[in-house]
Amino acid sequence: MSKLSKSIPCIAVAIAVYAFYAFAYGATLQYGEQYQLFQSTTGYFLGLLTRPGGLAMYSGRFLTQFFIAPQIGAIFISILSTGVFACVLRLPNSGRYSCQIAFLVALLSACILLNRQMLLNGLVSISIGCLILLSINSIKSDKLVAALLPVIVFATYWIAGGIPAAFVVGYVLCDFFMTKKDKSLLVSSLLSVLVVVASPFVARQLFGVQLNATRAFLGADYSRYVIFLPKLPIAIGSLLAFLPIVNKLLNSKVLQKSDNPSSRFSVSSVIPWVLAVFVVIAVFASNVDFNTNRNCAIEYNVRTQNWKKATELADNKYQTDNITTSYINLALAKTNRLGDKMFSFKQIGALGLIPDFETDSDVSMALSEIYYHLGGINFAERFAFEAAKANPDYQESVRAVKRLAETNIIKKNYPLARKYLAMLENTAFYAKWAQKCRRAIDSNRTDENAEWTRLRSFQNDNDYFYAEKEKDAMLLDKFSTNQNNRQAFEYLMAFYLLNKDIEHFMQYAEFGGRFYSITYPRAFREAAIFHLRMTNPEAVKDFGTADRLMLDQFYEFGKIYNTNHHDSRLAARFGDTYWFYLFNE
Amino acid sequence: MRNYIIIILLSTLCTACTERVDVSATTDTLPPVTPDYESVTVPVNIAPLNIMAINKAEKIDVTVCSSDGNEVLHSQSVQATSFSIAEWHCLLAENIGKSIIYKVAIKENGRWTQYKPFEIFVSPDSIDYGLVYRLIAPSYETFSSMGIYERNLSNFDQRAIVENNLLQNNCVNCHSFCQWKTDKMSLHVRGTHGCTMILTDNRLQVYNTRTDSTRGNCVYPSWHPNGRHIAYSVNETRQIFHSANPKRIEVIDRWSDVVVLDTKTNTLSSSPNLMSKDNFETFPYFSPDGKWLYFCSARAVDMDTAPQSVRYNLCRIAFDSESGTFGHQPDTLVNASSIGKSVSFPRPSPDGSFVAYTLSDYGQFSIWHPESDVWLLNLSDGTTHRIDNLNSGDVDSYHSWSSSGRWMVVSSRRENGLFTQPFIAHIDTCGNATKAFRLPLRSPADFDEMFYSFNVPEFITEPIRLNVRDLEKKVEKHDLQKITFK
Repeated sequence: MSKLSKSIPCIAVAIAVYAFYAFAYGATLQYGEQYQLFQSTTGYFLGLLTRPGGLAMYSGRFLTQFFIAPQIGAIFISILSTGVFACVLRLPNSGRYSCQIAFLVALLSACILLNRQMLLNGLVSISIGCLILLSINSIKSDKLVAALLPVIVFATYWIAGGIPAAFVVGYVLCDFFMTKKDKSLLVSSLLSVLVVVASPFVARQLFGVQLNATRAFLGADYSRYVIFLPKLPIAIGSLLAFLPIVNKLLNSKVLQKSDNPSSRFSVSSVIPWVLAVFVVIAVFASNVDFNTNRNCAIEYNVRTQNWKKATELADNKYQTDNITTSYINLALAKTNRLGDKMFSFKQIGALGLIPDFETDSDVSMALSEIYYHLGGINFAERFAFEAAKANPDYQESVRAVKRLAETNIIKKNYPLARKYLAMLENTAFYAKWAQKCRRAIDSNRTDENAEWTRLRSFQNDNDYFYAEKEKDAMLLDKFSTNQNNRQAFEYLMAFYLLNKDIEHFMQYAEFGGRFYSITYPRAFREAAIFHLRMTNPEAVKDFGTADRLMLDQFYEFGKIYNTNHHDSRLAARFGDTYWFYLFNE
Repeated sequence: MRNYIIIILLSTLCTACTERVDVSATTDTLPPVTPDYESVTVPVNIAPLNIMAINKAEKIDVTVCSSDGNEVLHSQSVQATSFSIAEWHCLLAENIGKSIIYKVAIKENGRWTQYKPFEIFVSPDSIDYGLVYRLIAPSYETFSSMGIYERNLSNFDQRAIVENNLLQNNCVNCHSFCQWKTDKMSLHVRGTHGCTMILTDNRLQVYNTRTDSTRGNCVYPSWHPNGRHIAYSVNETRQIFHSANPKRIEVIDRWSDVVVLDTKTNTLSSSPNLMSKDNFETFPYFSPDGKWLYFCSARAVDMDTAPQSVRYNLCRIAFDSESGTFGHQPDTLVNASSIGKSVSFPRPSPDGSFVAYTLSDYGQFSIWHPESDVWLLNLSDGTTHRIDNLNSGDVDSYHSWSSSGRWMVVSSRRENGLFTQPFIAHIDTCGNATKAFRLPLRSPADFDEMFYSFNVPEFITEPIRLNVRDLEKKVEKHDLQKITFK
C-alpha cells in the first residue's frame, strides 16, 4: 500500500471525527463537561494517580475541560482517534488490510463518545494501550520483550486500566501463535495473563484500592454510570487483542481468490473496506442520538443564559422530557414570553414547568436552575448540591459548584462561597469568574451585580419546608414576598394552567396586572375567556376589540371541537392555544 | 503506598530555594494565617501545626521558637508551612508544660511584613493514637462517595477503613468502638445491602437488626464497657428542607426507641421507659462503669405538623449488665425542654464526673442547627455550663472524649457554616476547656479543596484491624444474622 493510500483514510478519520463532534454533536460534549471539576492541584493529581487507570482518567478529565468549546474539544477527540489509527496501522504483521482495520478501530473508538454518559477516559485509555502495544512491537529482541512484558502489562494496568492491559497481552499472545517467535515470549505472555488477572487483587490487597473487583479491573471509569460494563471499549479491546488472528484470516488465500486477475478492480481490498464501513455505520447508528444532543444544546443555552437560542432550538416534532420542557419554559419566562408563547411549544403538564425531584443530576440541576431564577435561593442551593452528589461517577460538577458559590454569595454566606470559589479558582475556564467573584466579596461590592441584587430581593423571610406536592403554594409565597417577582407570578399562573386548574388561575390572575401595560399575555387571556364564557356569559359582552377577536377564535375552536374532537384543523389552527392544550393534551 | 508518593512529591516541592527575609515592615497585629492556632493548647504528641496565609501571598516564612527563645523550626514556602514531623516532636517534647512561639513573616507585593508572634501551649497530657471519622459531603438527600477513615494524630497518615465504593455504594455510618479500643467495633451499612457490622474480638458478623417487635433498624450505637452489650436507638428518620436562611435541613425522627443488643445471645431488650409511646427516646450512651444508660427523651409530638416543637431532655436509667435488665424509673438530669431547649448526643466523661451534651433550640439532629453548642453537666453537683472555649458562633455538635478524658473533639462548622471540621480542646478536671484547635493537616489548603465534612469523630487508642475484604464478601452475600427481641 502506498503512503498516500494510507494517509487518505488517516486524514479522513481526523476530519470526519473533528467535523462531527465540532459541528454536529458538540452539545453532547458540553453536557459531559459540566459534570466534572478538574482541579490543577497536587491533591487532585495524586488522588487519581494512586488508583488503577488513574493517568488515563487524569488525562481524560484534563481534556474534557475543553469540551466547553466543542470546536476545541473535538480537536482532542480527533487527535486521539487519529493516534489510534496511526498506532494500529503501524502494528507489524497486519498484512494488506492494516489500513481498513486501523480505520475501523479508530472510528469505533471515536464512537465511544456518542453516548453522552460515556467519558473521554475510554478513548484515552485505548489510545494509551495502542501506544504501548506499538512500543512493544518496536522492540526487536523477543527476549527483551519477554523480560519486560509482565512489568509493562502491570504498568499499563496502572496507568490506563484493565482493558488496555488485557488487549496488550492478548495481542502479544495471539501474535506468538500466528508468527513463530521466541518461546520465552510464550512463557512471558502467559505470565502476563496472570498479571492481568491478578492486578485487581494486587490493587485491592497491596495498594488498598477500595473498588469492587470489576471496577478494580477496569481501573479507569469509562462511563458516568460506573456500575455498567463499557461494552464498546470492551469490544474494541477484544478486536485489538485478537488482531493478529483477524489479520491472518483476512490475509488468507480465500479472500485473495475472489480477485479476478484480469480486472483492475480488487474485490479483496474492497470487501474489507465495505465491512469496516458497515460496522462503523452500524455502531454509529446504534449509538448516535441527535434528539438527546438537541436537548443537551437547550440545556447548555439555559446554563449560559442564552435564552432566545434555547427556545429557537426547541422543536415540537421531537418528544421532549420533563427536564427539556422545563428548560424551554424557563427560557420563555426569562424573556417574558411564557404567557404568550408557552403553548407554542409542546407542554406535558406541570412537571414540565417544575419537575419532581429525583436523585439524578440532570433533574436536580434543572430544579436548581428554576429555583435560582425564581429567587428560591435555599432550594437552588439544595438542588445544586443534590446535582453535585447525584453524579454517578462521584465527580464534583463544575456547574453545580458554580451555582453553590452564587447562591452563597446571594445569601451573603461569604466564607462558604469562598470555599467553592477556591475550588473553581483551580480550574482552567472558571478561574477568572471565580476570581472576579472573590474580588467582589473582598471589596464588599456584591451589590453591584444586578442579578445577585435582584435575586436577593426575591428571597423570602418567612421560613417553611419544601413541599413537592405544594409547588403552587411555594410559588405563591415567592410572589407574595416580592410582588415585583414577575417570573414567580407567571410560573404560578402557568402551573395552574398546565394543571388545568382554572379556578385558582382566575383567583390570582388579577395580581399580575402591574406586569402588563397593555394586555395580559395570550395564554392567560385564552384561559380567562374560556372561564368567563363558561361561568359568566354576560361578562363577555363588555369585551374590547382584541378580546372580541379572541372570543371569536374560541367560538370557532368550540365549533370544530364539538363537531369532531379529532379534527385535524384543531391542531393546525389552534395547536398553539391554551384551549387546545385544555381539551386535547 | 499512596502516602509515600505524596511525601516524596511534597518533599521535592519543599526543596525550593529559601529566600532571605528582609523585613520591610513590622506590625503589632496577629498574622493573617489559617488555621487559627493562636494561644491554643496542644497535646505533646500532636502532628505539626502547619499554617498558611489566608490571602494569596508570595511567600510565608515561619520560625518556631522554644520557650527559651531558641529558633528550632523554620519553614518558608509559597503556600503553607511544612514542618518536619520528627523535629516537631522533638520541639514539643522539650517544651512540655511550656509554650512554643510562632514568628510569622508574609511577603506580599515584594515586601516582607513581620507580624506579632503568637504562642502555643504544650500540654503534658498526650492524646490518643488516632481519630476515626467519616468523610462525607454535607449532603441533603443524595449522597455519593464516602468512607470511614482512621487518622494518626501524631502525623498526617490517613487510612481508609472502608469506602462505600466497595459496598455497592451503600451509605456507611455510625462507627463505634468499645472503650476506645478497636477489637470491638460496630458499623452500619445503609441501602440495598443494608446491615449492621459488629466486630468482636476480631470476629466479624453482619446483622439484620430489625425485628418484629422493633419498627426499624438499630442506629446510634454505644458499647457497654463489658464489650458484650451495645445500646442502639431505633428511629424512623426523615429530612425536610428549609426555605429561608440560615438553616438548610431538619432531620427529624417521627418516633424513636432505645434498645440494647446482647451480642452473645443475639437478642434485643428494652424497657417500657425506653420504648414509650408517649415519648421519643434516642442517643443512648453507657456510663463508663456500665451502670447507667444515658439517653435523650422528648414528649412525642406530631412531627409532620410541628417538627420545631419537639425538645429532648437528658435522662438516664440504671442498667444491670449481668441480667441485661433496666431500672424502673429514669432520672431527668437536664430538663432542657423547660427552658425551651433540646439536648442531643450525651457523652459521659471517662472518669464519670461529667456528661457532655449538645444543646440546641429544638429537635435532636443538632448538626444542622447553627445555635448548637456543647455543654457539660457536672454529675457531682448537677450544675451545667457551656464549654466556652470549645464552642463557636456556628454549629458545634458531635463531640467525643479522649480515653484520658483530657481532650475533647467536636464537629464544628465554625469556618464556613457547612463543612464540619474536627476541633480539639483540652478539658481540665473542673471541666474547663482551652481554646480549640483545628485538626492539623499536612497542608491547611486541603480543607479548601475537599468537598467533605469530617463526620462523627471518635478517638481510638490503637489502629483498626478490620478485614475489609471479609466485610465486602459478607455485605455482598447479604447473609445476615438475625436477632430476636426478648
